[in-house]
Amino acid sequence: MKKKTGMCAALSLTAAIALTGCNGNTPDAGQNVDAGNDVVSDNTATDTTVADGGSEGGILYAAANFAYSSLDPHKEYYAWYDTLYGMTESLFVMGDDFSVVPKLAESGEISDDGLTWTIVLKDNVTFSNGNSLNADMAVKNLERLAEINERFSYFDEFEMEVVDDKTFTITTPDVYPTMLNDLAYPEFAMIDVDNTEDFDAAPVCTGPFKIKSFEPEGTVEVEKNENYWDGNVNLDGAVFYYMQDADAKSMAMINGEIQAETGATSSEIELYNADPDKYALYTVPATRLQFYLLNENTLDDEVREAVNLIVDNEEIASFLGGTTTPAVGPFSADSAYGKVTKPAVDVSAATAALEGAGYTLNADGFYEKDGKELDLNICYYASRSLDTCAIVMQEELGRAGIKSHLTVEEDPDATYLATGDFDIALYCMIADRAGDPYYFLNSTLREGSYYDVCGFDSDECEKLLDELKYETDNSKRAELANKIVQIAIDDNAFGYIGLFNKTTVLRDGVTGYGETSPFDFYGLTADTSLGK
Amino acid sequence: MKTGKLIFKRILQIIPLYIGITFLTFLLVYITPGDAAEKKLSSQGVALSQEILDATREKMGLNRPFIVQYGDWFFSVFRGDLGYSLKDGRPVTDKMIAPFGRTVILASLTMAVSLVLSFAAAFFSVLHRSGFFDRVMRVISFIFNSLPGFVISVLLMYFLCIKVNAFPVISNGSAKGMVLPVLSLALPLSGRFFRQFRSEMLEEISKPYVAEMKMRGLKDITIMTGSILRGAAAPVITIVGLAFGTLLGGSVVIETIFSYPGIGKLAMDAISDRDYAVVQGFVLICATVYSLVNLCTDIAYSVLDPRVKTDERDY
Repeated sequence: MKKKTGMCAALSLTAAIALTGCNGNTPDAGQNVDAGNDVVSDNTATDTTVADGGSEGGILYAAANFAYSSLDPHKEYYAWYDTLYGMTESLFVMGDDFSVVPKLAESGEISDDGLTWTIVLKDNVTFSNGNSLNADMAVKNLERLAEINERFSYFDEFEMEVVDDKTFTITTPDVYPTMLNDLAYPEFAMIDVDNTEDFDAAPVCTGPFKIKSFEPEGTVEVEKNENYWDGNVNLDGAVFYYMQDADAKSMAMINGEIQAETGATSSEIELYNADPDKYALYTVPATRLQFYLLNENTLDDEVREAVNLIVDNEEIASFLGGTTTPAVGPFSADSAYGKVTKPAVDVSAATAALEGAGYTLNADGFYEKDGKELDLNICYYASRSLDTCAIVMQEELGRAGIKSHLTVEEDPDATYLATGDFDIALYCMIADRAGDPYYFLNSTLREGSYYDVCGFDSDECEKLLDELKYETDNSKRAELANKIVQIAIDDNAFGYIGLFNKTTVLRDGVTGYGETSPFDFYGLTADTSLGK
Repeated sequence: MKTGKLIFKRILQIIPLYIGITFLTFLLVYITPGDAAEKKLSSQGVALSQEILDATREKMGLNRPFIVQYGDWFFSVFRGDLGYSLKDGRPVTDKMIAPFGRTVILASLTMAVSLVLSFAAAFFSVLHRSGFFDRVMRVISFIFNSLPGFVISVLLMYFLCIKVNAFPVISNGSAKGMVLPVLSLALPLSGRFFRQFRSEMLEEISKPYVAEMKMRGLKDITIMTGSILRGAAAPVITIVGLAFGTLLGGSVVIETIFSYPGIGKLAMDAISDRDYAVVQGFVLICATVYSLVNLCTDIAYSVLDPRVKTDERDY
């Protein structure tokens, strides 16, 4: 904290001296075609080339928040950065509106019995070595992913069959409505597995860029893929520096050493907003959710209700300086499955609920019952701004007469979530992994799930989750998800605080760096331009 | 011969040292909440599932008893194999060689700059003690000694990168890019060295033999360069040796700020990831470096001050 405070002071000085003015610059988010229900197709992807077919050239310099020791997209989460580097592409991609859009695939269609998906590949897709992507290679990729990545080992249970050169089927034991969402994960990137010699340092992929130099957990340099199948590639290449320190990133941006970065902090946002002619700031509510669990095993219904009536998400978001958007439910309000409601902040109603349950104010101004003071244990970990959330919550609860104390842990999964020793547990995770609500709801609300640690128990919720698991109609899925989340909100089992914004900063007219996408893993594309 | 005996004795001493520190480090990583499987699966904030977590733990061998895991690691080290990183499966040796080399370069340059700056400043301060230069240097050294490296680095970045535009913010291993990381580490260290060197020289200058030399008509500069520096150097060597060891493991903040991929940053990431194989490798390297530095310090001590017998000192 001391380190951060010192740096903030130094940067504030930098900002005050170097920059003037304070106008924001937040262009509208782009649009994507809705993928529809269970059949998606795209016949226009190959038309997304520059009209004159020319290339503007140049090198983009960008900061990356992570750097992995391998580029193999099938391992771990490495594909998240391969995709950001513009090297890899999956069969489908996530649109800015959370829809699934075909990329390497032409279409994905589910059979009438819901058990077989037929995937048709585009005719003209080639790898950077000029080889064409066929169904056999696509199946090999899916098999390899299932074999080497534990998170996707469930694909082992699916039967995959090549129908013809460009068509293959995936048959599942049960109805699996989210197949196309899965295929849109970056990990489902296609590699030329037969002709890649070094999967870790130089996988042969289909993206607009290919690897030029790779330093494990360091700088990554990519160059234009001359064989790119989807038209013209604007830039000659890009360099990604692994930069963890926010202050160093902002100084490198001011100095012109980098032209693009994502995940700007509140102090950086303030700094860049002061010079809109030089920096373009794009803020999109994204997929990473700050939330808290209210322990039903230790807290009365009325106390949980009071906490949710007191905690003011707007106030927390204002403290976080534009890095989050206040949440109502776990998903973006823009998505079809983000349509839920919660009671407005109402401290009087909160205190009335407590008093109705027999709590009275003691001489210290805090509520107590049967002579025992109500003292909530707020557990958090100092990451993803949860420390700020915890402090603001403590202050808000204190103002309303609820005493609380803070417990900080380094690893929530191995401490308070594992033991259940908390009253309020703060946590942050990606709620919307690929345009579908089931993953998050199943992880947090399903009985026996990993995050089922606060005593939430609802037969109705279990029933709806079972329905959601097998429902193939997207509008019905959204309806079910909204009902499920509403149950959790009404039960005061959770409090959804805010969704992290994906804040992209681009310098000197750079565009097309995934700035309108809510997903962290989209960055460099064929359309990325230096704007000069 | 005596030096040879000392080296042999040190090698024998280092074996129980290795066993002790690696056991303790392994134990500390083991009992710290969380493990490598959980850290790996949750690294991007995606929800965990118990089934996948259990399978990953099984695959990594983390379900085995502590002593079996430590024993496996220990005996593989005896075969010259530091094992594989739990985070990414790369051989620990491969993973550490390049960052270690970079940190040695950073630490060596830092040490060289610090020694030159502090020795020169201390020499002239003592030569003109209580004069203007001495007073100014004492204030400057106090400031450098008080400021943490990261504050100095941010200030240097602001003035030298943003204002003067003389150096890049991103180090990236280039000669020009090394200047700021080296200065960020060297300035606080120089402050500490200056005060130490000055105090040792002043102590030496107050000894009777200096007064005798003055009475014999020798000039101050001759006494300083001929006798005082040699007399004051011996105690300083221990501090310099320890500082070098600290630089190897303790420059993580500067490495992070300047995006300099050194061993300190690698070790910090490994601790966060509960990657015990890499942590153990780092501890072994640090223990070896500290032992070597101590050995060199003792040898240098005996060379500079012949009254000290290397085989009679209680190390």
